[in-house]
Amino acid sequence: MKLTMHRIADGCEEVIIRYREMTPRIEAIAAMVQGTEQKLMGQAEREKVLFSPEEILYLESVDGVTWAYLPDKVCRLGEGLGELAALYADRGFFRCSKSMALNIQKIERLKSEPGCRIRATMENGEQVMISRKYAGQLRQILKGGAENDEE
Amino acid sequence: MTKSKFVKGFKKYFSVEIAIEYKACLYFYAIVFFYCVCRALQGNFQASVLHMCEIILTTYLMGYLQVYLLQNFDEAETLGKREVLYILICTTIYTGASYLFGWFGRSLIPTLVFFGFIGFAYWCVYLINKIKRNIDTENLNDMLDKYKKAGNFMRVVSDVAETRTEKAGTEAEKAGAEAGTGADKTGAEAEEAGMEADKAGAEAGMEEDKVGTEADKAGTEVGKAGAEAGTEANKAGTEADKAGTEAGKAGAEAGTEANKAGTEAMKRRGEGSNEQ
Repeated sequence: MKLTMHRIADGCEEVIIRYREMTPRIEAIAAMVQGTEQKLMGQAEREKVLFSPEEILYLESVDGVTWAYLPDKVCRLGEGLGELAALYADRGFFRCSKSMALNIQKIERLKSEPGCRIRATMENGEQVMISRKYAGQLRQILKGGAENDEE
Repeated sequence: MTKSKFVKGFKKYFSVEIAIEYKACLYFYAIVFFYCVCRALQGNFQASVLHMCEIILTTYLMGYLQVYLLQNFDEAETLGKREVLYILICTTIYTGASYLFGWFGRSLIPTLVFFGFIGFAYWCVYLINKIKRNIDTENLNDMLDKYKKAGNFMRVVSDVAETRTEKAGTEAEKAGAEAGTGADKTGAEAEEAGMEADKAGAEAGMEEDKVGTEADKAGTEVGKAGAEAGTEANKAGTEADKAGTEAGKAGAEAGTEANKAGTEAMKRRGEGSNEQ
């Protein structure tokens, strides 16, 4: 990939991506450029970690503390679970129980379980059971996505 | 208890009730089918309404038992030992009820066959539920894939839209810059013409100023002369006023004298007539 950079004396800084086909690499570059203002700060053991919401597999609230599960680490967040789930709902975050919110984009597969429940297997192999109450909402969300695709 | 809590609780209860209803209908249908076949094979083409009531009541009770006590085993993911045990328990209860209520005339063979039939029905229901869930799983994963694709597609679309907007903006900017340059040129020319006009105007103004100054001078002189003439006229007027006032005074005095003379003359005339 060719990289061209121009230094400008004044005016707004901008990044123009010229692409033939959208590839994960270009998507990542675009997400990095777009996501600079949408980073989350988390505490992982003794270090502070900066990451984008798209990296999160799921959020969990334990004793009032919200934890973000990333592919390689778990970070403690300052924000509440409800607040984050509502904030990133349009990015595919879905409240699957009172104490958990999943990133739908990071679900590897779903399985229909007895009692109208759904078992979600995340990209890291973690399995999350979605109760009947929330399973209906997930179906609605997925249906919305499928309908958009058909349009 | 708040209204929302009550509604939530009622919904939960209602959904469980629907599940029990579904089970009752399913097993009622199976038992009635067996009952009818059995009756037909026995040469009896009539069904007892009482038996129907007993069957539906039993299936309802079994539904409650399955859902609340036996962990809904016919919807289990796998058929383990526990599920088989639950099937045996329920099959035995159904068979016992059939014997107790005499659905098949308390005959041993139909009752034993019924035992096997109910066990088979449970296995079939388990399989049906499993197949149903497999189809649902397939649908769910299909929807998940579509959702993910739609998400990516929307991102690409928004990127393309932004790029297009930026392109249009750049073109508009270009066109604006060109138009601006043209306008600048025209403006500069207009400015030049304006400067020349200013120059000419200034010169004309200077000439006008000159003429004006002379006219001012002449005007001032005329004014001076006018003022002097006015002052003289005022003076003359004041004197005329004075003369007029004096003339008025003299007139008034003459009038007073004339009045006095007249009064005396009248007096004299009055005295003359009296004397006559």
